[in-house]
Amino acid sequence: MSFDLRQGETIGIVGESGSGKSVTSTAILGLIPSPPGKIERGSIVFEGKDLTKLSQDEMRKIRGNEISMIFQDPMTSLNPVFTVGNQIIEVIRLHQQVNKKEARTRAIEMLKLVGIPEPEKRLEQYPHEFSGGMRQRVMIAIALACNPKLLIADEPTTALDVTVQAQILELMKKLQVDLKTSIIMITHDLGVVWESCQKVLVMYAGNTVEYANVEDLYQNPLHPYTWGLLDSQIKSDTVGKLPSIPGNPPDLRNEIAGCYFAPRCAYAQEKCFTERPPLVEVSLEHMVACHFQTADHRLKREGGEASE
Amino acid sequence: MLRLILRRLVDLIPTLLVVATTVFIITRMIPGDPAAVLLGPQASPDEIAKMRESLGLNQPMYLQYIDFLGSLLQGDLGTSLGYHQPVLSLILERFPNTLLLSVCALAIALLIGIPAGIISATKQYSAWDYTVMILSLVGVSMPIFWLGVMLVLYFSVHLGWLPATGMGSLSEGFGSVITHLVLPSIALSTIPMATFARITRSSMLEVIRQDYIKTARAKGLREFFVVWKHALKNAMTPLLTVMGMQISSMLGGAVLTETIFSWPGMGRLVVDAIENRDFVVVQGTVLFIAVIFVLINLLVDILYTVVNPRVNLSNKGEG
Repeated sequence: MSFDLRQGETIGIVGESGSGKSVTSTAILGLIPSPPGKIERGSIVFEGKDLTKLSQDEMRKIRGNEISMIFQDPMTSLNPVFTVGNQIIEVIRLHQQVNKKEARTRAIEMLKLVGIPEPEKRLEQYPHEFSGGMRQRVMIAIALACNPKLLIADEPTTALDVTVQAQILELMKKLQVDLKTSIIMITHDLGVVWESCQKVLVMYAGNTVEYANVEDLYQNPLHPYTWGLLDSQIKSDTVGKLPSIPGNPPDLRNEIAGCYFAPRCAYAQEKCFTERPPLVEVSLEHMVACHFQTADHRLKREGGEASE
Repeated sequence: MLRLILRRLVDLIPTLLVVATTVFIITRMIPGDPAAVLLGPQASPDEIAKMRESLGLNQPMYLQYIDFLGSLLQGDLGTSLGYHQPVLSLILERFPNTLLLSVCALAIALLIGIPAGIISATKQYSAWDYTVMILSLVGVSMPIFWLGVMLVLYFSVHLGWLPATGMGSLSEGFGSVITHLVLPSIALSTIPMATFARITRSSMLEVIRQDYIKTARAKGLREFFVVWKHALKNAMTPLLTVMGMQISSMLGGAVLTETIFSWPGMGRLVVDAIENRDFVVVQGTVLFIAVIFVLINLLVDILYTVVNPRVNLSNKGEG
């Protein structure tokens, strides 16, 4: 897979569970447990430096400082035995040459920034005294405390209820504008992508199947898997059972010759099982990996909302 | 917090009453006549009868019981039959010795057991991990009386480095106390050390998979701080429980260790008292040990709240 991101931009990575979204993001931070995990080849270039070639010490200076991350479940992502203030101050003092008092002031500022009322008081409290949405705000405060250039958000709203989801997305969008942070938004919710991203990358079984601008993807989705994802979203006119993509992602421990999606694809033909389709640019800044979706040949989408 | 402590101290009273009653019944059930033991085999039946009378043993059981509780309330644990000394002063004489031995053994156990467990957990299934786990299994299963004797045979008899028995005295210099302490402390520390290593390992393994550990790494913290700060504090709760139990049993008298090394502590006092049918001393020491147990438990409960802010002992607030 391959993608690039400019300052202040947001890219969405979508795909179902087990498609490799989180692995991709943990790889960027160099946090894949090793052994058994290992980056075999490829490169992750951040501001001209290849992160895969940095030492552990150099990587540590980037983590939490230039690239930071927020996780899916705010209920378990904060350390229960340290105060919230302690956890924010820790990351500030780790990366910035400030004394305790300055770090505390900065922590209060951060809590205010993420919309937590009475920040001085909240600073002294423990995570269990916060609600889920408030904890995710704290996570965002920790992640943004050192003004990172890149924020990786691994399903930041999945574990929250819908009203809180909207608030958190709104907050992230606002902070992104203020701080000019780039965001990699990992999600399985195309609604979130539509709300917050400029570019989107659809992953299936560890590979990119489609990569396009958000508007382009919504108006003109090309990969059958993307079609399936779009069809399985709840829409205003959804009645009855929500359509789903039959089957499960393949077990990547087995050698698979053809297109990973072929066994579940309604349009698969013989070629799909023997030859893996490359990711090709079929129109301007729109890449797709399908034998039958090329610059001069298109599949006809059945059902769904193919033609508008 | 203060109210909690007070409440727990009040709770101590019924506990002690139950312990006192049980001890009273058990000491009366031990076969053998204290008067006969006291006077030795040459004593005539007449003398024994006189002795029984003076000890109050001829009184009906319920009167003996009331007498016993009455003096307890006045803080009087009675006078030893064998030593002809107040039991309380006997205990206060011996307890510091047991305390010294226990503190040393505990320090050894903590300083080796916990780091060993932590390293095992961070390097699960490594050669180090297997070694620690096998050694700790050996440690918990090794009988103290055997280990104690082996230590004496090797370090005292064979190498002649350390004294085998007794506890030395400050009048012979500080070094004398230290050299006498080494072997019994090691013998007493093996079981707690092995237990700490195992508990620390399993508790750390559970904590280290938690999301907040991933958060700590994503912050850019050194692995050392991730493990020794973020993970260890979370892993402390089960460790505290076990620590409390081990400390209580050590302070209650390390009977075997004190016997092997002739350490003049509480354990020896109880054993000697039982052998001599000195039921007054048995009653007193058992009660004293019960108080120690309850106090250690209270201390552990308080420490829980320090280690884990989610624990709220006063049952107030959102806890």
